[in-house]
Amino acid sequence: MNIKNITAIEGLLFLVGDDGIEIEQLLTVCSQSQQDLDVALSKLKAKFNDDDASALQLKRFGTQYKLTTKSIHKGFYEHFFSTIKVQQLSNAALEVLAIIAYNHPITRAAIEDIRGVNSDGVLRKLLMFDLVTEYGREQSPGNPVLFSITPYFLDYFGLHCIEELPKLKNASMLEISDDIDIFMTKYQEQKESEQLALHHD
Amino acid sequence: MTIHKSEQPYIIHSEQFEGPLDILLHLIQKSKVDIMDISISDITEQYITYLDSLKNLNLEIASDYLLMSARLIEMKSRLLLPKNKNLEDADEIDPREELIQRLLEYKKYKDVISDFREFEDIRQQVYSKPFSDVSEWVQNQTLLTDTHKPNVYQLVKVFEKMYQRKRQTTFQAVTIERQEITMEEQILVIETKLKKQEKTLLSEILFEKEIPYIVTTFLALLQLARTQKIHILQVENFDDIIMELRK
Repeated sequence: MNIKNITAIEGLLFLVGDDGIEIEQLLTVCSQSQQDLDVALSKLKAKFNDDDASALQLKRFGTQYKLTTKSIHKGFYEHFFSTIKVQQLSNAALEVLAIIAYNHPITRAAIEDIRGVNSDGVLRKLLMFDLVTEYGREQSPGNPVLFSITPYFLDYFGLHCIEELPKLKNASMLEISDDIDIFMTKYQEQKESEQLALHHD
Repeated sequence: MTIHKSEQPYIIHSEQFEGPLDILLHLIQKSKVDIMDISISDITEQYITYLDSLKNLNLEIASDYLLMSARLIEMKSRLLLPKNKNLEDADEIDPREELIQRLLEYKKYKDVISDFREFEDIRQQVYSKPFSDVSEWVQNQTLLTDTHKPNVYQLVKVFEKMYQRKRQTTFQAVTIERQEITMEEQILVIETKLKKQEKTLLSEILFEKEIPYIVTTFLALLQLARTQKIHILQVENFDDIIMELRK
């Protein structure tokens, strides 16, 4: 691949900033093969990420690439700007997001079934923030809207793909096995003490 | 299992619960009982006591919480009824079982939230700059190779983005002439423009950065779409909006 083009991609990444650039878009613009592009991008990544003298790094969120600052310098930037706004989602928002992320597409009613509480307000907010999106309708009475996560969801949580989410832990399994262990231990202890009692007679 | 007076759940009122299931999980945890071993009778009493304490604080209780109260009481009363050895009853789902399943299901997601928080936190350690304003040296070429109709949320997002971009590139004028334009007037502006040129971009119309102007434009756009006067198109997600007259 043309050296000029690789360098130009860096410039492009600078220009697009937070919007990032999709692999698809790069393929169209650069008219190179996916393979060449991957090589070019990994070279670029190494140039930034591995270089301690570089304040920027190349990040991928979902299928989108963007240049960001490095976390080690966060304190410095905060100091310079005095205060940096921290945007955090509420626990309710995270709950709804988690339910959608692990069950997408899913209806509002199903979400509310799991949470046991009305989730309309939270859902609206998540839609506004572009973290979730409408994804068709369910083939059931009333044709309720189905919800799914968005590419921005991946960006927001710094993920490459949805598979990077942790596996859900089935609480019952843990508790049951713990109880069985305790039961078995106690049972053994009981048997042993009975045996000892027998011998003493 | 009996609850002594000293063990009464005097809930810390600053705690934020996300719903009746959340409250129940908390009560169960407090009683140091396994979810599988809960006593409906005990948990109902604790739950209702908690709701009462909320009432004393004059906090409004959402209907979902009251629904749970009703469910718990119903469960409790069903368990008090003598057990029938009928074949019909064999099909009945143990209400206790149902509650336990619901609690376990909810707990799965509640437990994973801390991971999400961590991801959120780590992501916010790095920053990026907004899209550079290239309008000065790029011709507005919109190739309508693939168009799709944006929904309301996408429209709002675009407006928000435009507003942000405008804020960065335009100077803060010391004196701003307040030209209050009504929605009807803005509709006329858009229609006139579209009659002269086939298509127009949202960015061309939004040359003011004042919020009232942006809002008026947004409403005008919606109204024109609603009255089927224009087509609203968008090439890429969050791209500029293209408007053209409907034939």
